[in-house]
Amino acid sequence: MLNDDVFVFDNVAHMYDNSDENFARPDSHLDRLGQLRRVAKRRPPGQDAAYGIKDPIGDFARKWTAEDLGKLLFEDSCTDMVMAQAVPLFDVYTDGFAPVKAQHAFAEAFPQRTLFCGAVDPSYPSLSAALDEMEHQVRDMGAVSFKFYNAHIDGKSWRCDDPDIAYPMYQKAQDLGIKVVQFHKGNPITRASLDDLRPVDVQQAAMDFPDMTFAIHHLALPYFEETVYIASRFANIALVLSGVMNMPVVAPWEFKTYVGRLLRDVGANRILYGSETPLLGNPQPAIEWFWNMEIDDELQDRFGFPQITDDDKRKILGENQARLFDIDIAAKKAELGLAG
Amino acid sequence: MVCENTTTPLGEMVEAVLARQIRPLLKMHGGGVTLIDVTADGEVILEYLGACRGCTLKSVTYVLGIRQKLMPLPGVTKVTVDGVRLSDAAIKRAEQFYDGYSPWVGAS
Repeated sequence: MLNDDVFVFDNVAHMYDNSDENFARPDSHLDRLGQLRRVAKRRPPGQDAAYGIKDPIGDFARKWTAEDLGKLLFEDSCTDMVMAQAVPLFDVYTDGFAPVKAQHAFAEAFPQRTLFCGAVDPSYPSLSAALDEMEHQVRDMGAVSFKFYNAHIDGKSWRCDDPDIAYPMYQKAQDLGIKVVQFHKGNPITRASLDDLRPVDVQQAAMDFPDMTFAIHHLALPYFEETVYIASRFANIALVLSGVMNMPVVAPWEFKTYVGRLLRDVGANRILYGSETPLLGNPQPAIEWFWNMEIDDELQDRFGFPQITDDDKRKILGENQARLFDIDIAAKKAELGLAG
Repeated sequence: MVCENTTTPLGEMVEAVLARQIRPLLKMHGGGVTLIDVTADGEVILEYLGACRGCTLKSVTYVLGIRQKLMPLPGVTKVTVDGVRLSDAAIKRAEQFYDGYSPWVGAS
């Protein structure tokens, strides 16, 4: 817990497999290099050296273990619970950017502290196979959510509001008791078209499946305006600060502008903290920075953003995620032997 | 959602202003607002409906179209609309901007 009090429930960490052995294409190394370069800039200064990392690219081009990730999250940071999310990027990585089995293995290694988020893609190899796999991941592996990544570099991109491709997966999720589906939006981590990752295709789906929550990751940057208005219009959309949480390393004012805008126009109840550990390093500095942040008077004056309160921060750091996934925080604290 | 406190004198006053001065204007653009509660200490809690929910100008509607019309009612201490939260600086600016002007539209 943060300060022996605040329950921290990370919406997203990944057991990545960035190893050469996981490449699906002869040129997959280009996608990996681009992604690892981008995230290296957002790790807190000095942190790589503290962890003995000498090559900020090469040392991350590997398969991560449950031991690695567990240490970062549960020993070196105040994270209480986490969701291990698979990333179904089968166009670039044979087993996906963050393989299903690896996320499940992490959840098995830390069952009290981890929820498992599965993943499928209707293009790899087919919708029918994806539906069968969803059933397997829920019934046999304990998935409580699904992650989707609809942009691909091989012509197999799909839209999240496609009634023939996407909707059967949402219906299947609903039939399996899943209440939250999640979407990588904006911020392409391969050479896929940015346009395919616009968040606008989540709107119709949110309207047609009003009993499900649709979580949009990364604030769909650079489509922030669209994201704000989509979330304003549909109460069953949640926004995850994945990746964005480390923006203060580079641009604290920009981060405050995003958070202030969300507080003004969406509200604190549907914003979720997500760390993207381990690619963005130990999450502790970002958590602490967030807890100590304020919306400066100048931002309040110029944009009408409200001040962020401790209550807002508690919701964003863990309470919202706990509510979405039916975790009773008091009971979980007792189970984990946490004070407060 | 039915608000139990609309049966209080203050609740009835708030409902009357909503009905005569606020909802007709919001309705022109396909929007609306519903009264969730009027608390014992005078906070009026509302929720946007329809087009107002995701409107690009919902914060302006809140501070000028709704708050400015409800705050003058005796007993109202605060006006809240779910999904909109403004800084004190913005609210103060709006108050100063229209200081001396009547918030009422038409002859009501």
